[in-house]
Amino acid sequence: MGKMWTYILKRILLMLMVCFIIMTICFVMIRMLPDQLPRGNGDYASAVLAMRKAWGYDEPILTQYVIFLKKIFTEWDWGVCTKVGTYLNPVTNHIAEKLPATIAINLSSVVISVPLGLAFGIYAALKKNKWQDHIISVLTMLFISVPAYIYAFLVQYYFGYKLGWFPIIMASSTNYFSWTMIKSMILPVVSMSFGTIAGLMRSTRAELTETLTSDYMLLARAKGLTRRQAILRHALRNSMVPIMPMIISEFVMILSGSLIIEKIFGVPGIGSTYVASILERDYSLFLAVSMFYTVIGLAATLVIDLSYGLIDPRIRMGGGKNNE
Amino acid sequence: MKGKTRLKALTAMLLGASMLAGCAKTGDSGSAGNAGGTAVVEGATYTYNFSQYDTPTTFNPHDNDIVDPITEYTEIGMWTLILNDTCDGYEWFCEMAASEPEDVTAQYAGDEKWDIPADATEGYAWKVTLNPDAKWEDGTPINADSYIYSMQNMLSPEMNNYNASNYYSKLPIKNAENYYKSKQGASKAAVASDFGEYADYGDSKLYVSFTLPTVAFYDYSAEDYYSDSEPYLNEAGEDLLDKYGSEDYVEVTDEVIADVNYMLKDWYMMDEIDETSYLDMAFYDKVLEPKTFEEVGFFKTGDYELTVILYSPLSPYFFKYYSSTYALVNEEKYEAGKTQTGDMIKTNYATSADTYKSFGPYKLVSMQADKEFRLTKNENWYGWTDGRHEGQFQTTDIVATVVEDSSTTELLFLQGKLDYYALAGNALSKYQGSDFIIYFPNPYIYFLNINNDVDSLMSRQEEGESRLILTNLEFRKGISLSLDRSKFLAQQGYGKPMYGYVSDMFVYDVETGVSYRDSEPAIETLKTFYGVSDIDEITGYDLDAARECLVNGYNQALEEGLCTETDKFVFDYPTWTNEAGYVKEVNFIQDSLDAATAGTPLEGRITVNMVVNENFYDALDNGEYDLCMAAWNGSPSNPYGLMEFFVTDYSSPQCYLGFDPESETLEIELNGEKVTKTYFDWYNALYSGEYAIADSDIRNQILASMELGLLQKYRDCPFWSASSSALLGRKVSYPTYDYVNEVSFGGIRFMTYNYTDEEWDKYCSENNYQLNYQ
Repeated sequence: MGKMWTYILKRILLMLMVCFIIMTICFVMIRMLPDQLPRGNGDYASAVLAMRKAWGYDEPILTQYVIFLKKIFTEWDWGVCTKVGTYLNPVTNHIAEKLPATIAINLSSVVISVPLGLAFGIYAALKKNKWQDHIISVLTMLFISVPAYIYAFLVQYYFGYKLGWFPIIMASSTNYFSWTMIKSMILPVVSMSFGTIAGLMRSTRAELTETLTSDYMLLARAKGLTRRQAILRHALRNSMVPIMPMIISEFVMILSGSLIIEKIFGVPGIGSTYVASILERDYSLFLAVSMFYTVIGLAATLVIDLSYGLIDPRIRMGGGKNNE
Repeated sequence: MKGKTRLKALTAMLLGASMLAGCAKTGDSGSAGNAGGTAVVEGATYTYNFSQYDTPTTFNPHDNDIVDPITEYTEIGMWTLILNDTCDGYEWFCEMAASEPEDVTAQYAGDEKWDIPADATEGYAWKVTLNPDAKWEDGTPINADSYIYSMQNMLSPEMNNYNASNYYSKLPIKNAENYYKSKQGASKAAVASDFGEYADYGDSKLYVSFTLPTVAFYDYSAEDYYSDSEPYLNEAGEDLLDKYGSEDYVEVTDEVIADVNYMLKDWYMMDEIDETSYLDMAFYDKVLEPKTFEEVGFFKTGDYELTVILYSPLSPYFFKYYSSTYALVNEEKYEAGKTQTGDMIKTNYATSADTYKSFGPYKLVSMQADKEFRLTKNENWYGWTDGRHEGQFQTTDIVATVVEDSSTTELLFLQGKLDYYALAGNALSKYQGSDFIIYFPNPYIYFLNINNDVDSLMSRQEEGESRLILTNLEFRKGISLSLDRSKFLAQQGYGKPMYGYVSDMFVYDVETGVSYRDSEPAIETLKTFYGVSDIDEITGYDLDAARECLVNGYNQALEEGLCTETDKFVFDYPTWTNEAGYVKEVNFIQDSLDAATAGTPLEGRITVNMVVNENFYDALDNGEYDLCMAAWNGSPSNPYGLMEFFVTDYSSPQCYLGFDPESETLEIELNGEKVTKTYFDWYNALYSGEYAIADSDIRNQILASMELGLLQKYRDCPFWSASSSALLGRKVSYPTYDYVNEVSFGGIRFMTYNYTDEEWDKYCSENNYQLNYQ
């Protein structure tokens, strides 16, 4: 257990170092972009120049970076929005305001798609090479091959417009538990879920099919276990080793928005923020969002790595070369 | 009580009806489906729903860099332009000002403090009487102090507001710039102005810039126009952008002057150049004497009275136009939002419903960033009770929903959840025949340019083909008459046919918004050119006449030896790309010529050859074309400037191909006297010379005569004017569907409703929320 904690600590320290390097690169790169300042007659340009000067943008890059770091570490001040979101709103607030809508959609999608993906995958594996398996496999290939925005348009058109069962865009409110909101989230959630369900279904089927034909499954049945017992206690658990990280990464990625789905269904999430911050040259927001995604990505990697050990005790983290 | 309510409702109905009766017309290009507007139902709600691409980052009038969609409804100017009674122009309407501005120049003339010339009589000083009934949305009165506070903060040197320059450049308030820049020291200013004048730069140090906009490059930078194929070279062959482009400001030395003048000689395509030409790209250190706000020409002369002193005179129209709202902001909210960074103070005023107060017909009740904002009637707005706004602002609520995706917007519109849908892409052709379509013209004019320059045609003419036939006037006329402009636009889905070089959008009298196209000389020009007695008969298309002209032109060309009986006629038609739109364009012209030559000796012999050329403009400038679609635009308030394209080489060297506007003359009868000038001189006389400030009757006569002279050359055949379009929901109506400059179709002020919200929902429900707009 001690080795495990050392390993985790080491990974966290490495993670922080990577964060710092990425942040430095991002900071330097964005400030070195050509034509950063607006051109034009009159004093529009000088007004913007003066604002940037007041915010320290006129200093050498290294000095700017020191100011930037100092503000983060002393005041948790990542700067304010200037061109994206609400003017002068701290970028951390902006991200916090954008996250709930994204989380609401993504979390609902994961909650629906993980059990369905697993269930269909298990069913297909158990019905291997039967008509049920063939139907599920064809649908899987279809949903994996077709981009999500195609389903999005289709469900929006048929279920939202032609049948009128659901609103075609997300409702405007921050109460994500009202019936109006839940109903309006159904189409984006369904659109986001198809791909995940299909992905999980394919992996589960493949892993479980392989496990079901393993020698130890034969041994388990020979020992007198029923088929159900053998599948649940041995086959399923073993086949979960590669699938569990997929599920965990789905949960971690709840925080990152889908640009296209959010655009189609009018979800006021974080999906478009990153692109907008680059296009509009909102430096502070760009850096904050970059670091936000960097941390999510690195954390996801760490959690996934650690999850292997939890699912399969044979896999141990932090061991040295002589680890067995 | 009940009787009184009924009487009020009846009165409102009658007033509304009478207002509508004044201009309840639908235009030719109008939206027949939206005609109407029913009587107002007391107590009912009328919500206008539209979509937005995003919510504004800020709608603080001091710092927003775009026209935001919120203050359009929540703020109202001192004087605003509104649709006139006949719905064909606009007129001023007093809002936050109680009356028209009073010109008090005589009172301040010769006053040393304000530096107004002693003999000045008008335009420099204005007294503004404020509307005493104006209030913030919370009922707090708005008086002269509110405006003084707002202007002081707008021009504050500590706040460096984005829109401050509006109040010393557009509205030239005396000493406003000095106050605004009182902490800046010297700043760089351009030496040359757009009007061809040079600033008095005294002993200031001079710089030239290749990276900033200058007059020499039409308010763009030299860098913007740079191309590798045509670099800016000095006499020694050095690339000047490489040499000077690394800095924004390059200090002027003898070497710099020599280099820049050499380059400009080539750029201006002149044999000789004035030694001071480099000033067209020059900047100087402008040092302004610092002033306090008390010295700024914007002060109160009463609790509800302001006086505005200008450093250059303005006409009443432009004084009112640029006065806008005088940057009015609510002091309490503005101060509460202030934060300081270094020496810079900024405020988060007007970034949400909580940080803002309105003073217009509507107030902001909620805003969810990137999702929606909602407005409702501002009960404290004077207009609801002053008796001057009857029949206006029927809308009770406004909801703007953020929808980025256009197909989602379309579905929402078809469900009846939006009342406006801007058409683009495939939707243009899908809804082009809709009764609910409205058109917004833009100042771009397209015309088919026919090259008639012998040298450039000859240079590309190959054995067995003739391009020289294009030098024949009859043949060119035949091409023009073969083009069914309306058919082309129906296929394209947008735009309006053009028969002259100036579209309806260009007004000659900004005071009233009257279009040049509606002036007598302009009408006569088109009637004469197209040989009709009624301007509405013009189509520009006559297949039989086209056939006759083409054959006549061909026979004349045979006689003149410009072609033989076996020659093919291959006409190069350059385009930027091979996109579908260009292919359609070329095919249309080919089909038109095929139709006009069917059954004649020319049948099957004319080919329009699409030549994709990414250096499109170079191809035109060098005469490497036979036919091409050219476009041009200008300021809608100055139709006279449009002639630049046709008679000068400033922006279109190709106008000198086969035509020499500097030697070809035109005789025009003005006030009974015949005056003869070259086309080039007529343009200069009209634009900046002796007729630049003549009566509009004279100017229109000159422009119309130039237009007729040019049309008769059939070198530039007017084709279509650009426009954008939208669908207007069945729920709402405008009093006119003929676009009027400045006021569009009447705006939210004159928008009326065919259904209450309740009725509309019922109607949509009955139609299964699938409305048909095709």
